[in-house]
Amino acid sequence: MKLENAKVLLKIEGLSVSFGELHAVQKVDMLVKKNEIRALIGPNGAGKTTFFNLVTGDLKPTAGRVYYDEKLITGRSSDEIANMGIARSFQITSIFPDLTVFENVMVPVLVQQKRTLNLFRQAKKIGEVKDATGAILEQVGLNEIANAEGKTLSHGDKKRLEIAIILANKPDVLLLDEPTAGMSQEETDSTVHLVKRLSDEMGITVVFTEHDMKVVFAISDYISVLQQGQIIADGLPDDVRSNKNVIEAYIGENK
Amino acid sequence: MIKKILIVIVFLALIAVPSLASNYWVFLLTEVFIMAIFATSFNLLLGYTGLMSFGQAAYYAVGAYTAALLIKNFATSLWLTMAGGLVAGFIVALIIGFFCVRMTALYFAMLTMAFSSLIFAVIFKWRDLTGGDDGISAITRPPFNLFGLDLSLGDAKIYYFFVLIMAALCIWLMHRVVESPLGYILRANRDNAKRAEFIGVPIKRFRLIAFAIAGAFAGLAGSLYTLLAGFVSPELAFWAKSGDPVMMSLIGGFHSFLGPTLGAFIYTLLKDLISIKTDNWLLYLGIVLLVIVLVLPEGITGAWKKWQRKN
Repeated sequence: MKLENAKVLLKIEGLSVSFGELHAVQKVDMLVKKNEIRALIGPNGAGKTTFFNLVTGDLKPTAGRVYYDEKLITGRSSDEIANMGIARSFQITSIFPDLTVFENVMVPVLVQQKRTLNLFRQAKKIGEVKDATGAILEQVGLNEIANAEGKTLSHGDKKRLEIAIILANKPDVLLLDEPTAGMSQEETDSTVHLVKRLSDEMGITVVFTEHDMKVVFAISDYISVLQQGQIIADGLPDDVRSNKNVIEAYIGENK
Repeated sequence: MIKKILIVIVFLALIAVPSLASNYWVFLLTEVFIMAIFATSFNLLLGYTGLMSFGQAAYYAVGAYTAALLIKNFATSLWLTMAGGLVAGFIVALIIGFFCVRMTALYFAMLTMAFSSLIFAVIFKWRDLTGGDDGISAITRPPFNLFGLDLSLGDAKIYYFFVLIMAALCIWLMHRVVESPLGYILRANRDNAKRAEFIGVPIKRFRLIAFAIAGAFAGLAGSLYTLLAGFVSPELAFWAKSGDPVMMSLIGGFHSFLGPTLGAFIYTLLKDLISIKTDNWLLYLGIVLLVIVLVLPEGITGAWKKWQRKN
């Protein structure tokens, strides 16, 4: 199996956060290897998004640590963590609505190429910026609508644009929060295909949350199940599928 | 294309003004150009960074007073006077901005307003330096030497041309800023600060940069005003003065780069024309502004864009 000798890229130890009496995430441990596709599943309110918020510096944990590539990242700001190579998408699609599709992707390209403080050139006339932006638009299949404003896009295209935005950052790890939510079957298939390709061709590590079990079992190398803030099971897809706790807590409930 | 032709026509018409119109118009239009710099600098914040500042008069006044004090105390040259206004606006905005950019939306607006009130109070109370409510008067324009050519700025018409060129230059520079990589980072902050942060943009730092740039241009505009009026008073820092660029941007349309410039023309001219006809000018100005804002919620440039899209 491809991950056997891979190194651990994301190491999470005893990660916890509480809001008063509510223990949203409790003592979560997780090891994610380089180039792994990890699904994080669980019922609504299980703490999946909160977990992402903790890893990406959006929330401060009450306890626990997150290491990325052996460096402690707990306590760092979101922009620092993003610059280290961890990118995320949001459950509620988050793009730049008044910028065109091209500009949406150009912004992270500017960040990635460390040009953000450049005042003296016109952004759209810099060759390397144009090329890098064009390449990503092609990769996700948005080049035909490059001049449309973000807010005019269909739901599926917005989701894809968000993936394009975070890809432009050249991340090593992608955290995708419900990447196919609200998509048509066709859009879902193409997103699944895209994620698979990113993993195969670019060696990107993916952690994603998902409600669609078909998607989860189609692409995951490893699955963690979260319930009421705790990991109740994790393992290979087949193990998780037959795990009693999981069937009771989650999959059973859906059938 | 139409826009470019229109800009050229307007610019040519403005060049022709001093030989055709009275000194009243020359003075008034010089003020319009200064306001255009001020309003455009304000719109770097509102239109491009998504920050509603209600305290831009502070930097305008700091620039104006710096220019006045430089001339009065050191008889500085024209360039040094203007540079003084620009640098003072920049530095004060950098200091105040450091605190303001931690907040967003309403809290940001309130904080900018509070700081501008503070600047007003300092100017008002520090009599020894600023002359208090008497202000500083009888400021004469320094001599102006351009490549050996001695131009007498004391002549209102020559100063008109000077400010016209300065305004064109400043507005062009600010246009370069909004089209630059930095400009797009600011737009990203305006559109979706959270998304910007999660692609690695330290958003507070960039808000501060925008704030300082806006402060620098406001300070420069203030110094040009000092040279126009020959007089500064605390009113320049009063909170109502901070409303001017807001109104100009709303009238012209803050989604368009030249909207605030157009707004500066309309607002300054309206204010002046109505106020010489009647003492109740505020009433009429208020009615006109209400109509504009209600009928054209995105300003004149916004309405123009909508009309173009329809046809």
